[in-house]
Amino acid sequence: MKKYYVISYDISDDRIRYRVDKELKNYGIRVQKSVFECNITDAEYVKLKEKLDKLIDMNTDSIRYYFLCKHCRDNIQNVGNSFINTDKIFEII
Amino acid sequence: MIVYLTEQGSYISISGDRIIVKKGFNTIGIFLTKDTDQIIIMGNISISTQAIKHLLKNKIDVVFTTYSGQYLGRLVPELGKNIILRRLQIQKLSITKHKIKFARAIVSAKLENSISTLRKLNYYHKSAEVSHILNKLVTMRKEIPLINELQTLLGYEGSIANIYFSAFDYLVKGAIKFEKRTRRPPKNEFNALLSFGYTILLNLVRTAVNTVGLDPYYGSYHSEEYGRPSMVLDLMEEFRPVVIDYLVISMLNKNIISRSDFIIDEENEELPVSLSIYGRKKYIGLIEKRFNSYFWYEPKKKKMLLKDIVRYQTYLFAKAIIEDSEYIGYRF
Repeated sequence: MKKYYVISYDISDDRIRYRVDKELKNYGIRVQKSVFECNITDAEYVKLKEKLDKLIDMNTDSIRYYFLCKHCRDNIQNVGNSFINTDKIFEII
Repeated sequence: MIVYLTEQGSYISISGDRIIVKKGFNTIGIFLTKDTDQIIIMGNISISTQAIKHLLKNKIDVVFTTYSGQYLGRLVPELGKNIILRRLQIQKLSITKHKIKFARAIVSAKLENSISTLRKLNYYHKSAEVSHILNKLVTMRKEIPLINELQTLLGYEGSIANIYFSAFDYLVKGAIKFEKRTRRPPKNEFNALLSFGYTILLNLVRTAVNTVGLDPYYGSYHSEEYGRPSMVLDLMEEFRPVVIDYLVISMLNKNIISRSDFIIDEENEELPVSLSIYGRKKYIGLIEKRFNSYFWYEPKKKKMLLKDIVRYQTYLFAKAIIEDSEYIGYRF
């Protein structure tokens, strides 16, 4: 069962930010500079969180995880140069 | 997620845990490994060794086909460890008594599905000719359990197919007509659609057969021949009318695909009629949509995705081989 998370971060050090970025890219899609949307299972969530916890500096940095239910997710609104992320069952290129 | 790659000249590489498809310097697709189940590579698309290793490691099924969709091969992370099942399959299906039992189940399931497909289509058309053909098919239903020879069954199935296909011209209302079943190569647009659809369906069934661990080359109804995946063709038989035939007729009647979606090259003897790039993408999209729609499934007493039904039927076949029980085909 997959759950939908919005993950945002505030990291001052360039090197740490790069590493956190690299990890997050494998789990979800970047919707803003420091905001990711991930559709992941519980196991993947635990794994990701563990990895990120090791990377950041607990005194200066922060990462926030928001869980969106299905209903909340349908009500996402966006303005400007942005897109709404939908799950696809197939893709043709 | 199933990814079809049809863009000729593109390149698949890996970055982190992502599969990246590039053409020239442009990135045309990014997929996460954890979301991808299968990649179907159609035609001239290159893939790096790094990517092959990554896909094998993550057990993503990669199928290589030609530009026209014909199966060439696949990357197999682990092929059927279930040697016991494979031994039983070859043992059981070598005995004529068992072979004919499975073959009968397949043919009767196909006949049932052909009848219900025609019935569903005729519901809107109410053509007298089709009702006549339906009556003919219904009477044939009773004769199948009496056949005891494979050769007779083969001939019988051939005549069923002929009668069944003859109904198509009455059901199609658009400019594209069925005329006659031609294959290798398909000689008109309708046949090109059927052949392309069947090859896509073949890919799906083949994946299911590989996952369950049956040997794809040793079937019951189709005789063995060098390089012919008889088992896959056997299991595909009952889904042909449900998935492809119904879809082709209904999409032609809705004018979703028209003459302009085809490339006709009469001088090319190998492939006189083929789908254009745009038409191909449209058609694959429709087939996938049908695979991902819900159908009532009697053995489980619930609605299931069609692609899951295909997998479950394969599993039932394996079960029937192991337990020496009766195989019952999918009823549409």
